[in-house]
Amino acid sequence: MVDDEAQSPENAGRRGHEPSRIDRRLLEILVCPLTKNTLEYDSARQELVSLSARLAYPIRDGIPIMLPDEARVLEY
Amino acid sequence: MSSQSQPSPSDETHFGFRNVPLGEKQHLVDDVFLKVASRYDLMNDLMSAGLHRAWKDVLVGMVRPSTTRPFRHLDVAGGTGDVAFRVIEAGGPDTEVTVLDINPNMLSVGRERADARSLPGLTFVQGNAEELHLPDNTFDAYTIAFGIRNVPRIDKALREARRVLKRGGRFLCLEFSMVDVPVLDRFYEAYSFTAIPAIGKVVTGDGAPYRYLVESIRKFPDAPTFRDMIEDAGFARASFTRLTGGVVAIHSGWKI
Repeated sequence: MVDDEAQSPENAGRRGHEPSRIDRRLLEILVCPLTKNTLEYDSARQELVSLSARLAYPIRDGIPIMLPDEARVLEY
Repeated sequence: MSSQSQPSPSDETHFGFRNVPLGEKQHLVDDVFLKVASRYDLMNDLMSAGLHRAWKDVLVGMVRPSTTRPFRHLDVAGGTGDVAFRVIEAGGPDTEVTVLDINPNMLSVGRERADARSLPGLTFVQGNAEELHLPDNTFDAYTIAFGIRNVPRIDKALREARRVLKRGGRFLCLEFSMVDVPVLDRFYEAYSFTAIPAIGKVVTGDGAPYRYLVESIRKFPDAPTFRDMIEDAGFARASFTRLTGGVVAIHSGWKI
C-alpha cells in the first residue's frame, strides 16, 4: 500500500524513535489538515497516515509534523 | 504538495516592509524563527523589558480555564510554551493544552522546557495555523500570542480558529498594535527601529530577523481593523483591549 522509495532521510532510522512519548489523547484528535479526515497511526514507521489525502505525516522525536509539504506521498 | 492550494504568482503579501509573493512569506518567516528559537524568550525579555510576561498573564487571565471540569485549549504559534504553561498552571487536573507551531526549533525549545518542569496535559505538534489538523468543535479556547502577524493568510487562520472551537469557545489573540499615546509613540518608534535590531544582533548574532519583527509590527492592521477581520471570520462580540499605551492589544471573539 505504501511506497518505500519515497521515505525521507529522517525516517530512515538515523536514530531511535520514542513511541512512548506520543500522547494517546493527541493521536485521537488529530485529523488530516487537507481533508480533515481521521488518521491511522503506524507505530512501526512512526507515521500518521491519511488515506483520503494519500499522505503519511511523519512523527519526529514524538512530535507529529502535520504539514503536507513534509508528508510522504502514498502510492497504491 | 500539489493538493495544497497554491496562491497565484501575482498574489503578494508583506514581509516586513518588502512585498513578497504569498507563497514565499512562510519560508521567510520560518527562516527568521529558525535563527532566533534558542534565544527567543530571552530576546522577548530584553525587548519588552519583561513586559511580555505581564501581557501573557493578562491573556491567560482572559482564557480562565476551568479548574474543575475538562478544558481543552489550543495555543497556536506557541512553540516555546510560554502561554501553554500558564494555561496548565491556571487550570485544573483535566486541563489539556495542545501547543502548535509551524517551526520545529521553537517546538523543541518548548518541549525541553516542559520536560524540565514535568508539566502534565501538554502536547506539542507541528502544524500550520491556516490549515489545522484538528477536528471541528474541539477546543474551549484558542490563543495566539505574537503569532498572527507572521501568518501569510490571516483570514484563513481566523476561519480555521473558529472551526476548531466549540460553540461558546473563545478566540484570544495577543499582538503588537499601534501606540496611541502622544510622545510614547515617538519614543516607541525610535526604540523599536534602532534598539531592537541592535539588541537582536548582540544576543542572537543577527539583527536582520529583528528588523523583520519590527517592520512586521508596523504592517499589522490597527486594532479596529483587526477586530473587523475577526468579525468577518464569523466570530461574535469581537472586541479588543489595549495594554501599555497600545504597544500590544488583546483581541477577543466568541464562537456562538
